[in-house]
This record gives sequence, structure tokens and C-alpha cells, in this order.
Amino acid sequence: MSDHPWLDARFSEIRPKAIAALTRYFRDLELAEEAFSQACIKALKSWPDKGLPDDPLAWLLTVGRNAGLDILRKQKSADSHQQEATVSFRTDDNITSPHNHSIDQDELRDDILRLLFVCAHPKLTPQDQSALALRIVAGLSVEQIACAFLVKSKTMEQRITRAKRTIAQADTPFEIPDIVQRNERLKTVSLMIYLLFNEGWSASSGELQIKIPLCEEAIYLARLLLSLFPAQTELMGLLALFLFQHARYKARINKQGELVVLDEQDRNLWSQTLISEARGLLDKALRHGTPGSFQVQAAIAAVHSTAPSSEATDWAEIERLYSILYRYYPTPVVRLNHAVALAKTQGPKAAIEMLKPLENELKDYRWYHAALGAFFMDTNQYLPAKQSYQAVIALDPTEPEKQILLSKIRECEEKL
Amino acid sequence: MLYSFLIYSAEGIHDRLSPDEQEITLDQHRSLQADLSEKGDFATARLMPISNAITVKGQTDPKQKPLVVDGPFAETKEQFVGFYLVEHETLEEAIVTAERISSPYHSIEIRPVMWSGGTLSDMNPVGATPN
Repeated sequence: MSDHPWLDARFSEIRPKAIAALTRYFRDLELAEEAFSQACIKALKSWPDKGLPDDPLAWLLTVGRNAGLDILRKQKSADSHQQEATVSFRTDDNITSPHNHSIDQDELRDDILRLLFVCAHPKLTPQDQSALALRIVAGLSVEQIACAFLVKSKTMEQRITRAKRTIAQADTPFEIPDIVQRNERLKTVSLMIYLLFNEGWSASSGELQIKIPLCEEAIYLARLLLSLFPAQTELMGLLALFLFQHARYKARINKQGELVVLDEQDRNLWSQTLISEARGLLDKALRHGTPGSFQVQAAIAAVHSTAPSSEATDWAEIERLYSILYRYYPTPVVRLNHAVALAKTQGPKAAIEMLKPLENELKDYRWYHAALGAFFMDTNQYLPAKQSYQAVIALDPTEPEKQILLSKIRECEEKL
Repeated sequence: MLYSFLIYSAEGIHDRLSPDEQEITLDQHRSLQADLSEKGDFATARLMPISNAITVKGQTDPKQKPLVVDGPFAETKEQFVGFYLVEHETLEEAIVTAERISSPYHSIEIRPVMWSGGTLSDMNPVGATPN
């Protein structure tokens, strides 16, 4: 970090584009990163005095390419000095030919997508995929990433090194993707960013503050992707979903640092700026009439975000949207959420009927038993309610949750 | 004369600043807006990111409906991010106003207004909602 926050912000904004273009140029991620950081050092020496160049990205790319070529030359001479057999100095045409200074926007777009796609390598765990994308694309330091994922810097360093080795060995497709490949890549990358946001969002009480950068970086990556593919409705849906959720961030935590559930949040703390941006994006997406799971999830979040109070929430609309979401994601967890909405529109009996068949699949899922317990209570079935709450306790809830559960169990016993 | 102040910026940069740095920029705007509202009428708006934009393009054939396209009108390195409309006696005064909100992230185009109209209610000043 330098004494010029405006330059750091500029480098950070340019970084994904520059690393992506340099990676295609050198076909070597490590070299691209090194070349970019040398270019930034040169810029720090030059820009504060001479002012910003007309095209900062082009400037950094030209300087970065030269820096990278220098590194390769030095490697080559060091290697030949030691008389090593074959030197893997690249003589690809694109390196030796005089390079083209104008930046092709379409090419750049696929370069950035490729870079993210490479990070989302199937051999890596979702967390390692995210960590790699945060390091390479967003340019976060290993310390920052380690902190957000609640692991030691040393551990994260090793994980990122290992992940980099995995993707370096992988066969990176450098040709321009066709439309089917491009859509596949977009899907893979969107899912990675979605999981990154969830990692930050599903933090427990003590972790919330620490993990919030994960949500912010997921938003950053979603913005980046959408700026590259402005007509992709699912990307609009993805970003809208994040913004609706993130708008509630300040209301999610109380003065004691505990999580506050949606129903009990102070809605005055919700960021109307983010909510209206999300609504704008969702409106724009829905015009196309090409729905997808992210748009549906964003629409559900929109109903919550625009309700003046928990009681005034349009549960019928939410219930309808969950039944649509189930068509995209026929998972028991979506069903569970659907049942919660159904309880609001048709009552707890209907919800219990919907939940019963899920018992096998969700028997280890705390929220399943917690929801069932509440519905049994509402229908005066105290024995099954008590059993449900006991099932939650057996699944290792947090201490405050446990206290609440114990008091509910006592309440059931009194009524039995 | 009524002047417009058209603010351009590489869009992602503001988000990549630390919260403290962001506040410095926002404070410049708060202070300017406080002074302007004492002096009289002015208008200002901060635009949402260009990903929220659509562009309606008129067709050469007047019988055809205009084309609606996702995204901003032009792909540029710097985007139009917001504006002010302020009455000033002289261009020099207008430049002073622009200087108050200038920063290394922005360039501000000052362009006199040919005609204007409308009223704005439902004001939502900078920093009014938690962000």
C-alpha cells in the first residue's frame, strides 16, 4: 500500500483486467501477477508527478508486458548460464510480435471470465476456489483472505499455493469460447461467487463482522461480471440478490453482537440505496422474460425488502416464488423454506404436511426440526413439538439457541 | 447563468477506496450541498452504476419502435456518475464550485445550461440512508 489511496484504488479497479490480459499474453499466471505488480511500482513512481495517463490500463499493460519479458529474458540467461538442457522460454508469436496497444473489449471480457473460470477449477473445494479468486482477481492479500475465512495466514498461504499449482497443471483453454462454452463458464463462475457470498452471509454471531468482506467481495465480483456481460439476466439477478441481502447487514446484528432474525430486524437500518439499486436491476432483468434461479431468489428477497413490516409481508407471493424456485432447485431445503411461507398463507397444518415427507433427507438439519417444532406448537401438538426441539438440541445448536430451546421444551412439558 | 456540473469517474474506483477515503469525498459533497441550499435553488443527483442502465435507441425508420438495449449508451473508460445544476454569476464562480468537489477520481465538466425545467420533491441527500 502506498501513500496514494487514489492510486491504490485505481490499481485495484484495473487489476482484474490487467491480470487477465497478461495471463493470456504470457500463458503464465505467476508471471502475469509479477509483471503487473512491477508495472504498479513503476506507475507509483511516475503518475503522482506526471499525472494519470489517458488510458491507465493500456499504460500498465505495456509496462507490464515489458517487465514480464525482462523476467523471462533473465530466466533464460540464468538457465543457459547453468547450461540446463531445454529452456522453456516461450517463443509464441504473440510475445515476439510487436504488440497491439489498443485493447479489444470483447477479448478482455473473455480473458477475465477465463481467469475466474480457471479459479473455479472442479478439483478445488468451493472455499479454495473463492480464496484463489480473491487473491488473483480481486487482489486481496493472503492475510485479508485468511482473516475472512477464519484461518491462519500460514495455512491460507499454503492453500493458495497448492491451489495455484493445481490450476497451473490444468489445461487452460485459451481459445475464444463459443457461445455454449461462454454460458457454461458464466454458470460455473456465478455459482462460485454465489457460494462466496453465502460463506460470508451464513456466518454465526461472532463471525459476522469478520466475514462481511466476503459478501462485499462477492458483490464486487458480481459487479465486475455484469459490467462485462451487461445483458445476462441471471447476473442481474445474482447481483440484485446480493444487494437485497447486504442492504440488511446493519440490522442483522444487535448491540450485543448477536444475530437478529429477519422478523425482528429494525427495518430503518436497511440501506434503501442498496435496495433501490437491487430493485432497478431486478426490474431490468425481468423485462427479458428469461427467468432463472437467481432472479427468483432475488424476487423473494425483494418481497421481504419492500415490506414495511414482517406482518405486512406478501407471504402469498413468497410462497408462489418458492414453488417456482423448487422447479429450478428441487432440494429439500427449498421445500423447507416453501413450507415456512405456506404456514403463513395456509396455516401450520399445511406446512407440517409439506415437511413430513422430508424427514429422511433433513433429519440432520437443525432448521427442519426447529420449524416443525414451531408448527406443532401452533397446532397444540406438544409431544411431537417437544421431540422436535430435542432433535434440534441433539444437533449442536449455539448456547443462546440452546437456552431458548430448553425453555420451549419446558413450555411443552407444562402443557402435556 | 445556470451551470451544469457533469461528474465523470472510472466507476469501480469509489468502491475500492477504504470507507474513510470514501467519507472524505462524501463530506465534500455534503459541505457543498449545505452551502448551496442556503444560497437558493440547486439540483443534484448521483447515478446508480451503469449496470443499472438501459439505452433506448431511436430507429432510422420512424415507424419502428425504438430499440431497448442493456447497458449505457457508450463504452467509455470514465462513466457519467452524477451532476449538479447551480446558478452562478460567472464562470470563475462555477469553477470554484467544481474545485470544491474535485478529487483524483473524478473529472468535472462544466457546461452552461441552455434551458431547464421541472421540480424535484422527494429529496434523498447524500448519506441520508445507511449504506
